[in-house]
Amino acid sequence: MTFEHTDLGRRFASEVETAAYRIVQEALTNVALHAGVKQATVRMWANGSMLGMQIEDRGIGFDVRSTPVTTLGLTGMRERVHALGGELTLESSPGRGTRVTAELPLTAPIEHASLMRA
Amino acid sequence: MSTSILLADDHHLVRQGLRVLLAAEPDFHLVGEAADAREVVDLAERLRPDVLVLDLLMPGINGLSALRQVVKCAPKTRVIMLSMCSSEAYVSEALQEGAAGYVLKSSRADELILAVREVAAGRSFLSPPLSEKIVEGYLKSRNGAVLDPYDTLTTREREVLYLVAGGLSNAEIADKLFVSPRTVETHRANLMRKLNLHNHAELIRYAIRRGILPAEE
Repeated sequence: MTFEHTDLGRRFASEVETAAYRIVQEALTNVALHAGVKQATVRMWANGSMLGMQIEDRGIGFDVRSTPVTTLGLTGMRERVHALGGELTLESSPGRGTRVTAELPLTAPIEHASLMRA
Repeated sequence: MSTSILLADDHHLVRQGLRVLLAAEPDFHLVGEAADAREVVDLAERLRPDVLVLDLLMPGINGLSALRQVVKCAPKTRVIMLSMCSSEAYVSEALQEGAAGYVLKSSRADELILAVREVAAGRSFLSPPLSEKIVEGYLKSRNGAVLDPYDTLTTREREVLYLVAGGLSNAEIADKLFVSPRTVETHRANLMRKLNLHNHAELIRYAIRRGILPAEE
């Protein structure tokens, strides 16, 4: 595995860190189980507003439209990201590998909103 | 055994030069020529040439998108990208998208002929200054794993970056990609944040530095 990163010399909110950890773990599990390769690149970056992560492999890939996403634990990843107000993009096609990119806001807007109401 | 070749470059003179050059080889035969990216994809699918020599900066959809589509619809065709740009980002993206060779327009004529033979034989070919760069890049990446923010862009964000750099408005890009202008706006904001760009001028400067836009027009 190759790990590339930038601006990670600090801690983030624990729910953001946990989500990031789970997403990378889940995506790497997918690579190990389905990609047919033993190599993946994990990229992580942070800026003022987002913590980003990307897990990319050059494996067999799959057809995003015809594969039920539930089989890949993607629903879980997506829910995790959305719960924190982030975005997840899944890109793959047969023979061309898979790339999962997620960005999580450093301040969780949903929780913030519910606090305001309470 | 003879090698069938399809030529794609939007400059008439360049095509003519390449044609003369390649036709001089008895075991090469040219099966077609294309002047824009859409035509390339059509012809590649119909003619299934052994080798496609493809200009990176063709009008219409750009050369990389054409490459992507050719790889999909004519998977046996080996593609050589022809470019004036030796930027590593472009070279490695072309290779990742399935190009078998990358030849600089500043190369000598016999280099292209060699490239055609190499890729037709199932090997890859890079113009010598590039292969050195790639090796350097590999050695560097083994030591420090510094992230190149460009790598973090999704395919859509890359497409939007090329089109914005090409001078298209959000509405025009939306039309081209069959999405709403709002979606384009989101992609644009995301890619600018990832690349740490704050305005259009910075985006253009970035595009030139990365070889997405040629420095001279």
